[in-house]
Amino acid sequence: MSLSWSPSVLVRSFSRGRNRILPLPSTNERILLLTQREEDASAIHSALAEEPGNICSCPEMRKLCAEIRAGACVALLDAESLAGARLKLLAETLLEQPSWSDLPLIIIADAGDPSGEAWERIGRLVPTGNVSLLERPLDHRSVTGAVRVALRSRRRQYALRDQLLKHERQPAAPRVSKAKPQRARENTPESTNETDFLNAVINSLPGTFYVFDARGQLLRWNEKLEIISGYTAAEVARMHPLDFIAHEYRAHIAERIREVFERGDSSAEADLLCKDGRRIPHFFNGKRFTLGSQTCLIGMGIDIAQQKQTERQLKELHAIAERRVAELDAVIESMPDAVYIGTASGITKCNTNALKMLGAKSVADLNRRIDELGGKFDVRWPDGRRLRPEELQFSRALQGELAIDDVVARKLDTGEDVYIRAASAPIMLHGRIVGAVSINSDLNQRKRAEEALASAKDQLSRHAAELEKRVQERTAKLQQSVQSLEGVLYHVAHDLRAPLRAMQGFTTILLEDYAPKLDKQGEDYAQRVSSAASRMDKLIQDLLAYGRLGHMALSMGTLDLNEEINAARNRLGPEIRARNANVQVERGLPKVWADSVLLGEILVNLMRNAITFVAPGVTPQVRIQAESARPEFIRVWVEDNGIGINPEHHERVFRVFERLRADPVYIGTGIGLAIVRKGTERMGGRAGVESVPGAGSRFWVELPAASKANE
Amino acid sequence: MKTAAAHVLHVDDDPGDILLLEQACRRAAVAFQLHSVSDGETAIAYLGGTGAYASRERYPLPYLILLDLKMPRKSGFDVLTWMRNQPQLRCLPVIIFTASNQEEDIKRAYEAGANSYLVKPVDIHSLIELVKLIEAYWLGINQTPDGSS
Repeated sequence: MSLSWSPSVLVRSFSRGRNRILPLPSTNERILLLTQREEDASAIHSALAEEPGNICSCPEMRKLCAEIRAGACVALLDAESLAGARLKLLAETLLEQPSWSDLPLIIIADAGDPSGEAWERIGRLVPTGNVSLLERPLDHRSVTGAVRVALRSRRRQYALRDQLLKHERQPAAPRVSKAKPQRARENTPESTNETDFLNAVINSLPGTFYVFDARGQLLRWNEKLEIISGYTAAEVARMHPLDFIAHEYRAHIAERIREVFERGDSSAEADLLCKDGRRIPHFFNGKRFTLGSQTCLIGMGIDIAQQKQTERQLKELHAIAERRVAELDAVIESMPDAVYIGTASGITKCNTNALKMLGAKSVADLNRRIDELGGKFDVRWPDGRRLRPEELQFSRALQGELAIDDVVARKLDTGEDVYIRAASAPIMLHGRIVGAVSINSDLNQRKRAEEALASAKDQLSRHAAELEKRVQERTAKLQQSVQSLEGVLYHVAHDLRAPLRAMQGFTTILLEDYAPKLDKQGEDYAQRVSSAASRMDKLIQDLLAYGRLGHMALSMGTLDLNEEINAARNRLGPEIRARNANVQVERGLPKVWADSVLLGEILVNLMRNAITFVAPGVTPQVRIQAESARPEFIRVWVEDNGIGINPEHHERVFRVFERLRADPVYIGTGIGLAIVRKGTERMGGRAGVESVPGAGSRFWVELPAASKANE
Repeated sequence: MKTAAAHVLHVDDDPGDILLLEQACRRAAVAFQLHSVSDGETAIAYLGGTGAYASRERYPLPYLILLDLKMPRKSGFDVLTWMRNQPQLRCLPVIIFTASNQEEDIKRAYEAGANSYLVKPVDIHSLIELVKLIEAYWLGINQTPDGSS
């Protein structure tokens, strides 16, 4: 049999099948009534007076149930009758009904909210599926309306029943009717024959079942086809197989059907088109077989809606997962550090930074056992010791540890060492370690900076050492020259004094031994030579003393100013007396931190200066006092009534050989104040003067207070 | 008190100082006899009795030496060091008589075996006083081991 089907051909054949209409036989339309209220009964009787069928009033539930078994069209009963065992009895009775039967139940209840109890009773009947509620007070219209709806529903059930019975009577008919009722108690004498068994098999199939001939005439099908498609058996009988297929699949399915008739079998996926327009994805198959003289297609359609949805969901999940993975990859890639992810058997994911850090071409270079990788990259501690396999940070992370260390690795491409801070952590999923992630940062730059810093430090210290050495050399040279200078000074002084002695000595001899031979003039000249020699000797001695100040070893200690000043005053005694000077010293002067010899020199020179430079005829008045100057320093004031000093000369007076007065009246070597300043400075102090010409001078020296240093 | 014939050797390169000391000794009317040489080398020759100084009669071994430090050729230190190495001169009293009052010189002199250190005064009167003191102390009070003179 070879037919070439086209959609137009199918439509024609579909139209032909439509003419086959089945008759619907009428049946017993008994209305059962159970109510405990008289007014219910009478209202119903009057309302249904004109309805076909007859009302059968039941006095109790048992009777109602017996009538249901005997056959009834609708049952009306009041909610009050549904109490306890009666409800149970009714439910059981309904369950015994044949499969086509869905007896309409109308429950009469009080208007408004029925009590919770009534609802619960009604609820227990709902599984039987056909329960409606009629509220009191019962009026004519609502009763007839409810009963009519129930009757209509029941009639449809009867029609179905009749069809079933008809097919049972004609087992070889080209269409299959509904199988016999499947419940055990429904057994009838016919259920034993072969057709019945076949029907049972067909109806128990998980999908739709169909047999059709080459023209597209459906010969047999199962209940499932009707239930799923929503077409009645009569409608199905008039339809072409392609009528059940959504339009866009029809050509494809027609081709598959042709394949079955030509080659023997085929299958396809397509949407099944329901009567109400719904589409349900199906998998259809077909196999060629011969039924009597006819070549037919026998096959089944499986609802794959669930599977399709699952597939779709899987696809969506897959897309989500892929997006997540892509996002994760992007995150990993964008990290500034090197990121490695993997398990003990190797690194399976890493970013470009990771490849660069280790000089690897691709992640494949890293996808080896972790302990092998440790050797491959020669991973060492900073001290050069190779890491043992179990010491590797990644291995430790796989054991659940958070491992962070600085290590050195050898780059694969260049063989250079790279300093790495390796931080590895376990990846936990549902409480189990499923891998590890390592985030490694490149320490090379820091290392280089450290090395640069170290070398800079090194250089600096070398420079410092060199500088130190140079300073020492210079100092040594300087000391040498100072010493040689002192030597020169000493020699000069020494050699100068010899002729001085001669000058003075012989002048003295001249004056003493040869006085009679000298006239007044000669005596005067000899006298001048002698005194000039004396002055020169004094000058040289002062110069030597000043020179010694610079390098003499100091022996600092706590000194009582009053005692030191008294000692100095005693040394100057002859001069003070000669000048008839008056030196007043304040009592209770503080203690200072100084060298005794140096302080004595300073005080002597200050006092000598004070009593020396006074106007002719003026008695020198000197006052010595002290005060706390800046913190931890004592300022000693030596005040005189001398000639005073012009402000522009205040500094000059402290220089060597700066005698401001050429007048021989003011004898002196011009070195005393220089000794004062230099001596004070050597002890960490300073010296100065306040003076107004003609009004005396106030010289001062500042010395460390005794409390400053350790006494 | 030593004998009036006690001799004192003055070693100094400055003829002025030699003359001044002679004058001072005359004015102080000292009892000892002053001999003068003008440098260290000559002093060693005198003390060793060599060369021109071989005659102990003309150049007797002194009882005391006044020794200047800064002298050409052999300095006072050289003379002193040499003397302390001569068995018969080891205990001979030596007074350093110099213009220097440098700490370093003083220390060095004593270390070399000087018995006294005096700085030459500029004033002749001081010098006369000093000469008197030297005679009183070194030739009067001070005791020296026998055989050193």
